[in-house]
Amino acid sequence: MTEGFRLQYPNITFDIKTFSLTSGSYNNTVTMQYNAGVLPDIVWCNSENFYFLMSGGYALNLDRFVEQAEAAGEFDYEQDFTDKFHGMGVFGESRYAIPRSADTVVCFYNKEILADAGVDTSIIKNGWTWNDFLTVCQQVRDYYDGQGDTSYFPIDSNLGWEPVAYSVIRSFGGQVLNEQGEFALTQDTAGEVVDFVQNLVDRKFIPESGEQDSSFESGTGAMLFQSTSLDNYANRAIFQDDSGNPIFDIVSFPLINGQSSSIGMGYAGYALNSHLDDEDADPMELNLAAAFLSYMMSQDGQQRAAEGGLTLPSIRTDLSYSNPDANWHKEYSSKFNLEAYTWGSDYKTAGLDFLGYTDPVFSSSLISAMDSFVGTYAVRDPENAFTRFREEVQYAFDSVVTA
Amino acid sequence: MHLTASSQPEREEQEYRGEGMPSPAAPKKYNKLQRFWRENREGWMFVFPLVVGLGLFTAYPMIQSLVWSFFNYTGATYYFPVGLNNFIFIFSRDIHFWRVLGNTCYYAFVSVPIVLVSGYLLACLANLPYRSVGAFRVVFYLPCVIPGVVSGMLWDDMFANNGVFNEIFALFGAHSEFFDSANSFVAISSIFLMNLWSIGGGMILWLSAFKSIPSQLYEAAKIDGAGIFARFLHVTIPGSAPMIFFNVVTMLIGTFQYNGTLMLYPPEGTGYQDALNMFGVYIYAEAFRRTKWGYASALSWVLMVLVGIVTAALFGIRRLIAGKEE
Repeated sequence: MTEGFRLQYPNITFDIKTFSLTSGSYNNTVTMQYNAGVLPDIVWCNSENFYFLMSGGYALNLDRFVEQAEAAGEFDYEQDFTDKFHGMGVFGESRYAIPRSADTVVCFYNKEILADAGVDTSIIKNGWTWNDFLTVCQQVRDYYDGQGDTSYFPIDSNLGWEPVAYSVIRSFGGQVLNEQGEFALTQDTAGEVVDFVQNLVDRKFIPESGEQDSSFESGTGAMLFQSTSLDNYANRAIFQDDSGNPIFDIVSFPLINGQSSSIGMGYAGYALNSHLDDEDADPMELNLAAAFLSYMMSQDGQQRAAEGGLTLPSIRTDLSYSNPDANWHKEYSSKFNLEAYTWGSDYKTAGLDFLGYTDPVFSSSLISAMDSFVGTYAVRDPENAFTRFREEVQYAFDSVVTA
Repeated sequence: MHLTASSQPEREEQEYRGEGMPSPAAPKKYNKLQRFWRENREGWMFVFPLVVGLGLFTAYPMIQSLVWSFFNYTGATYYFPVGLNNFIFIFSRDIHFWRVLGNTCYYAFVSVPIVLVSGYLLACLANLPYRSVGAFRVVFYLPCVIPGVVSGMLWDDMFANNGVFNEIFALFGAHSEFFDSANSFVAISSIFLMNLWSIGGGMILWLSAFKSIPSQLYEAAKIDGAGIFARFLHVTIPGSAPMIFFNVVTMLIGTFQYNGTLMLYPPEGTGYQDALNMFGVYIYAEAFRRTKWGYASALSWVLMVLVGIVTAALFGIRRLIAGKEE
């Protein structure tokens, strides 16, 4: 994508800073560089990091940029981009990041393990239900037990990851905060969430406390809930048979609760450093950074990003799954069920909308509390899970020290 | 009267005093600062890089964090003074603080004696004059050579639900969740167990301390009829007392700042229900995960005062012991 940008804007020079990041080091790196005034103008983020950028005030409000670009005829914001794009990278009513792709949580599955477990793969299709999913899990569980692999589990569930955690809560009609910014999850709904998770634990589909997780990536788990690009796995030897053909595929996230089901979304994209709007900042720098975002949103930018290995649905409507020339699925559509990424748009929840009802400084704590509720407390301490969640949210609000 | 040529230092000394200056010109006077500089410049030149380093990387951050501790400072969102309210919040409303303090004290005051005593005794064994003692020294030190990632994976396996420790516990009808336990006593004690893995690292320091004890003392004690235990008690321990004190002080300071659980229990490092949450981890989380820089700075100063009190107490105890011996 950067090469395409260079071709389009030959007079703009830029450097790419690449960092090796672990789960906690993104926040640290961004904060240090922001405070030191050396944070790049354009900052990569994913759906989780986005809220950190918001909580620290590191990301620039892009509404003005979008309006100007639309007025200049660079794009039609409503027409050119998918519905889900409109909900991602948005905090409250304003846009702070531009997703480079629309990443839906899908279910990755290892075809070899499922075949060995005798799973009828005809039920594994887009739109499958949670009961279908549980049936597959049970067969894999029986297979593992028969093999003596009692420490392996059918699903690497990522329940403590917000796109999954929130979609579980939403599927039962729950909400974390109401529009007044107050804790809104009821005890009844929380109970349904906890029962849902406990069912997975009791049937040994996911590990209980103290047990090691089995991992789809290392071949010790049959399925995985993730939103990542196929490219991350397709070229790994562990996911290829002797002929080099992939031994895994994807399918849509199972529908948890019929028409009320929710499918989570995540994304990777870019924000602009809020220092660009400082009084002493060079306005030209802001314009150049905005030009990059504009290029990334263009058809050429999207196509080049996909050429570089980004096999996730484009944010543009003219590069949808039905367009055979869209690079994001052109290479892989013969080998994988890529429609899984775009299936069921009615069920999809773009972003954590409840965070828009409160001060962004609470974002990290609220996400952490929600993830802990579904991913940890519901697994380990079902009786007190709801109370713990409510107390953590309340403490997050109470922990602002005032003058 | 005859003239003698005075040496350069003598001339300079005379110049300081305004002596030996050719008349009728006015004697050259030096103020205190100039005099200090001329007398100490070589020394200051030697320590200049260190002074700059300490100033930039220790003194400046300390002053900055002291200033921030009186502010609500959250990245780019909030920056306003709150007086002492950060400190008041820590002691009155922070639901994590007392657990964190308890965990840290438990870890520091139990871990240090365990590691110190076991490392010391190991070094005593490795100091015995046997032919094959070199091989033992290698074996004891070997865990320190193994990369942390590798040993981390090993321990992860051993502490697992179906790991070797639980296999042994199962023989007695017991089971433990180790790091994953909600009980701080269990979770932190698991770290003690793991710390024993690398006590060979401290052995090197102890061995060097033993080498500095004059051998005549052992010979004299032997002639006086002291057995191996008496020699250990009355020669080895007093002889290595300065090193023992050094280790106690540095290890206690280090353990109060311990943040190894970030690696042991990712991503937060706090353990289940704060069972592993210690000062270093808590400060890191408040600053770098929740961007509460002002609050994290206040916590850092609380930790610093705590470490200062403990260190002062240690020096007091040493003076007390030294006074009794005299």
